[in-house]
Amino acid sequence: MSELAMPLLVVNLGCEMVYILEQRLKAQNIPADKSCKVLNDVIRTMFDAEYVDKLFAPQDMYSVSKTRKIFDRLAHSSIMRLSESSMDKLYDLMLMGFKYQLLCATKLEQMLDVSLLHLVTVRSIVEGLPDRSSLPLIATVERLLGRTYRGLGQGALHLVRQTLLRFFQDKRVKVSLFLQEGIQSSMGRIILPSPANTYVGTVTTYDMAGGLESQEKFKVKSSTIDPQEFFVHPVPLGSNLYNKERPKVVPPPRKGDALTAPIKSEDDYKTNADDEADRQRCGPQWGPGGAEFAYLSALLNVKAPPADNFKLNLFGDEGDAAGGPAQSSNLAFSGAQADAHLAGVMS
Amino acid sequence: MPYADKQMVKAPMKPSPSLIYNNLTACEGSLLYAHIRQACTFALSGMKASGVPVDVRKVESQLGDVKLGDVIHSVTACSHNAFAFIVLATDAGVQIWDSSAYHLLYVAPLPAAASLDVSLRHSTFARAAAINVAADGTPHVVFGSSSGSLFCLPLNEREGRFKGAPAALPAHHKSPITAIGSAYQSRQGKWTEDLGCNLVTCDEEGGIAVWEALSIGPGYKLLTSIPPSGTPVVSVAVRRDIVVAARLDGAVQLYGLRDGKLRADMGSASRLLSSMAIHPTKDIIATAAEDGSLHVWALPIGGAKADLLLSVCWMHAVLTGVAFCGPTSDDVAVVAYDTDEVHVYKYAA
Repeated sequence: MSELAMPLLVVNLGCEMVYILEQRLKAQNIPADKSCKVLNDVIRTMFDAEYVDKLFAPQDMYSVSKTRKIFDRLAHSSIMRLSESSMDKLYDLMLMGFKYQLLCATKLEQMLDVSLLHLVTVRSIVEGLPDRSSLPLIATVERLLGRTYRGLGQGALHLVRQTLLRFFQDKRVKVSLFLQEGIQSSMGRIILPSPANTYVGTVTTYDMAGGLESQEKFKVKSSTIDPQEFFVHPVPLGSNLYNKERPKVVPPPRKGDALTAPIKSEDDYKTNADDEADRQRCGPQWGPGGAEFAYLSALLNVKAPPADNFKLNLFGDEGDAAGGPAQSSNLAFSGAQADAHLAGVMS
Repeated sequence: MPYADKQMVKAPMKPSPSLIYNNLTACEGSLLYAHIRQACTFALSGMKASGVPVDVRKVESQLGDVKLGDVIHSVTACSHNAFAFIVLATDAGVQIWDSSAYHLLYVAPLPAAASLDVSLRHSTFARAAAINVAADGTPHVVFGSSSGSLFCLPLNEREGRFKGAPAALPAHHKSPITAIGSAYQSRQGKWTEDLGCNLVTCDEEGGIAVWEALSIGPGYKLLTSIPPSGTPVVSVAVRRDIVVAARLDGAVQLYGLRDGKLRADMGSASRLLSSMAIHPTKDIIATAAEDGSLHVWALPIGGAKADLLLSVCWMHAVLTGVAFCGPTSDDVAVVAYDTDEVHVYKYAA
């Protein structure tokens, strides 16, 4: 498999995480100084020079659970604390966001475009903060992405895509935002771009001298299907879908939902194959974590939580409702405010 | 028309197939595919009616006490006379199973030559396989590797077993092998007079090499090569004197076997073609792509005109494998990445 997939995975998932955290910090009226500190700390940790250097070294893909641990550490690299439930949901949103971008990219080079757009958008978030010290780090990641992926051939890029999609296999979660805006069908399937173009169905034959002998156009099914049945979301892949200031997208009515099997609950799909393979590959002498994972994870420069940490209730369904014990900071709060944009974000 | 999109039977099937090239193969009444590190198989006879789940068995790869849990890069059914095998190409090398996928017959770790890959872009792996018969009569399986090396394993016909270490073919490809085909593989081991002993191999840069197998291993001679186009061939077949090459960009291209000249170009998908199957006795192919499109074509060879026999769009599905199957190999089965369903288009004579 490709040994160049990890940087794309971490950068894109990390940027999705920043989008979601930024939106939730605003929605829950976390004081600006604390919000800025959280975002800055997460971005600075994620794009730390030494960490990024190792991230871009050729290496095997990590499993879903090990990657979750990396983002768990990232999310807790600042004064913010998330419950297990919030972290689970955050991770699911991150995964589904990047999976959607991968599946809806029509050209292999778009994987790089999506990644760069993620970084441009995170840069614009940082530029709105009082502390912009992470900007050079973002620039370094942009350079490394270009250096690593520009110039890769179609075959090598496709191997990267196959490796990434192997990571996302069986990860199927319905996301309310995606359902509302037509990114997922009512059955939960990600709506793909249209397969119709003028080339499909064309048969050209050549004579022995290489000259054109005949050309015939056959009618193909895809040309008869209403284009609205396919992916039409106007926001470029990699943009911040959680930005409340963007216009809401109303998808066209689609008949095609009933033509594929409904998505089942994620519990039906859990496989232990990757975790089992990690145990085999890493071997007992490295312990359950594995040497390579431990090394990369340890490079994340996560400091001990300071005294003024606070708990962020991401999705408003957690047990620490009003009356729950206060955290060490003065910012224990009782569940999320009603937030129409992300209300019931997980179906 | 012998095929129609309404003549389709679909059945729930778990686990879902991975996104690798040609992730569906038919072998003696069963279909096989890979789910990440595990091969899965189910009997076609179990597909009674739409909506009834098929009974999928996961192939347990174990060598002694050690479970083999390597990522699978291709699943290929190979037949020779009375024997049928399933070849799994993985990160570690190849596994050869009997046709029932119950008995692991042979394990070949990737030879050292395959590890001489300094690109650092990918780990080492084996990918693609095909059966061929050399001019001296030796049946053998050829498989490819991530370094571009090719290896063959001779089959002992009397015992129906593979023995010894893989022998390397002469060096040619410099990037990972993506597809291998032969006339014998395309006929699924059914002998015809026009078979020959040619092998076709393809690499990630889009290069195609045509070989003649005088004997196995170093007895392979390069006949002709088609320069790399930048677009990899994801599946290749040989039918009489024609190479049928399905490229990632959606084109199925027909080349002369001996002169390497382009004879025809068929637009089969708008993007990311993932799989092609060739009928063992008829000059027809089926193609499947990540854009959801499935097509069955009559090939414009041997004086025949091209024809589109079936055109289907599986909505919101990233197709990853297609195979001719059924008692006369006329039905067309197709599966999609991360989708718990198999669709079979029934042939109506």
